[in-house]
Amino acid sequence: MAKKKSSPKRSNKMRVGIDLGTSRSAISASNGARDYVASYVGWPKDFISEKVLGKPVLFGKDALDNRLSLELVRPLEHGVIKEGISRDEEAVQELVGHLLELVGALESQEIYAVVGVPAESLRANKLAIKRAVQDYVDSLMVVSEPFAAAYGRGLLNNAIVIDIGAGTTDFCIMHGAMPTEDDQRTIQTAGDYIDQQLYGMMKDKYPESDFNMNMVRNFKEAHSYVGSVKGKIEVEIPVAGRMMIHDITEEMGRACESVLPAIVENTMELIAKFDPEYQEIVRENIVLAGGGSQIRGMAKYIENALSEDGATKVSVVDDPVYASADGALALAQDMPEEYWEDLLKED
Amino acid sequence: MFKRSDKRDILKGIYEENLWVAGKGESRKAEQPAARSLDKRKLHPLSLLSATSVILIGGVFMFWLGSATRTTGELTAGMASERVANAGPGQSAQVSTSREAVLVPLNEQKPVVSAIDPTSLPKTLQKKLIDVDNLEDLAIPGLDAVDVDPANYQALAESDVPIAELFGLGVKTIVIDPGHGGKDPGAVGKLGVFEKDIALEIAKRLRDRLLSHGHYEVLMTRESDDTISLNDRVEYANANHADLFISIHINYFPSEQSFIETYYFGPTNDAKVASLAKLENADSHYEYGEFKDIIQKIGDTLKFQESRQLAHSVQSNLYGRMKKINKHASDHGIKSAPFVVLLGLDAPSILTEVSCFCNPAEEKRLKTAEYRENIAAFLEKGIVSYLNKNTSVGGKRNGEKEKLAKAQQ
Repeated sequence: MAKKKSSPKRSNKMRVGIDLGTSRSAISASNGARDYVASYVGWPKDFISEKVLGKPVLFGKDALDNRLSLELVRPLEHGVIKEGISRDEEAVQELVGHLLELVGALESQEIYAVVGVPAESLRANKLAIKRAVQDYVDSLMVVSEPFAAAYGRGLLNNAIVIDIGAGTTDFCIMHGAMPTEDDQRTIQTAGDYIDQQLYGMMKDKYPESDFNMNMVRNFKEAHSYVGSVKGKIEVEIPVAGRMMIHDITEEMGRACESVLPAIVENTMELIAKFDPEYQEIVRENIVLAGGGSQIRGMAKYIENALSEDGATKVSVVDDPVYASADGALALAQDMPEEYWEDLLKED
Repeated sequence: MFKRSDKRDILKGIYEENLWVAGKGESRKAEQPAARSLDKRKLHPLSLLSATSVILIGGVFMFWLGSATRTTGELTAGMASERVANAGPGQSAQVSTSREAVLVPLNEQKPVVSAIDPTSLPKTLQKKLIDVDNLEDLAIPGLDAVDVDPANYQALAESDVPIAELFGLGVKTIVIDPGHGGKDPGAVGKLGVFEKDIALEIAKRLRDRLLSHGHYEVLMTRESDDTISLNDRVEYANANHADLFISIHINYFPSEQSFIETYYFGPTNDAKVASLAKLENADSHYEYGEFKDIIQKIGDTLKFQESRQLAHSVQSNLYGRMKKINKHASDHGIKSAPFVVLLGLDAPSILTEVSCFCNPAEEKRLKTAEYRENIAAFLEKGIVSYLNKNTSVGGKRNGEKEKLAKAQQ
């Protein structure tokens, strides 16, 4: 979608919720459409690459598949747009334009967007996000991903949402009011951290095997688990040019479990911050969101660990890919018109 | 599920916050720390240590390689910076002069350093750039400026030789950070023991042990039950020019085992550096952002190398000795992670989870002074072993002379 040049009053409005994630970005629109893309943006390295690829910019899997011909950017690595690197801001901009195209947004429409970003992004560089997004929308609000997910599920009181993403794990306490910074917490032990651990363990075990971080990430997405797993996890990896079977069962479990102590400890601390009268209720209202929530056994494992101190219920959002985007759309739709109008960009 | 008034308030809260971001409203009170956090990110990605090293790199590394093209009339400067130690709780301010000579590479044909907008760099580096502009008379004989090629930085960042070893960077000031404190108790054991208390107790014992060596200035981010933000801890360590930073924590994870693990500052975006390799022979075409990224990478490399060595030494000593007195000690090894408290630090830094509120038995052990003293002693062994292996006291590393001699051949 082309950048908007101005914001004339238009009767045709679209409200969208966008989840700008480290690993994948999703959009839900008021016209019922929704879609997602891996958060990769790639520009052809030179005019030959551009001619071969036939596009000035590629996204998601398309970009990953052609990464050798591209200058590939994962703009929200570690949950923030990296300061001073304009390419990352530009990548976020392209990504937002692409997401809007995916849901059929038109330049002639007035677009009101709520964008969910990792909590760390929200704290660190709201303005950078705003700069990156505002060219495509008429009015914009930015919220944290776990808050958007909580809002979408109606979890506004006595609940903790834990969004296990790629770059960060975000915690958000919901207590019937707008969460402040104190109610939100971000740690860096998340999906990317698991990838690094798994990569290191596999390198130790199979030093002669030829694999990269992208392959390790794919292995994780296909086979991740915590606790126990039936059977072996075997993957094919080339060794001296020949594909060989590798058993990574133990490494997969250890890598995935490496994030648990930090998640459990932070959850405990957040529960302890709650009014003691409500701690029991909160304990039974813990919700996992984000890609990490899909790790087999994750919810049960956290639940068991926390149950040592009292009855605990940990559930997983039904639709982790769209939980934050749907929540952001719900916010966009509930937001009074006058609020949007106050935030209309100035020409 | 929720009251209508809750929802209205929440929507209004979001609106007001975004109004402020759009520059159309006033900041909520809760935004103050956020603004500081933003400054932090801008000001601290490069460390004093890495800034010093980066400036040294252009000159000394090429000098070492013996392949530099010397140019005349270029600026070489040594700076003596005054160090004012910010007094922590219960500590007196100390003043000492320091420290490494600083070589600033400039090139008339390719004014790399001056091409950077100084205001966009970290304050520590800004100071050096600004000072350098007026310090021709402080040039150090024998250290001429050299041609700065990004390929050289790149080579250095990827070198197997530890950068700190190359430049003889020593350890004088050790900052110990007892985790949590004040309103933030950290993990709480089943018997009601607070992580903040155990961490402080062990930290004090470790401080006393390190001070007894007589070589190091040992500072603590807190010496009592105070609430101190992560940012303040980082600022304190940086303001005091910490050479090492040790953050002490207790794990929480219900289990029979007592998990011991040590984290060190992890590498950032290696893919970015890989993509910059293509610039090796295109020294006049790099962009500011990319150049800045290389510098960042070198700073991170130095911190990464040293942090990893320190983490390895502390973890192996801690676990190796703990398992002799606690059969449930479980080695979770060293791990890299960009924790906030490690990320913003100038110095090599680790966060060590010295024990775990895993079960009441371990908690009982942690309540005894003897056990805490043992942990402090094991940490001391790890730190001193790292220091003995890699450095001599007072800024020169073992093997420094040999390396310089080799470099000059």
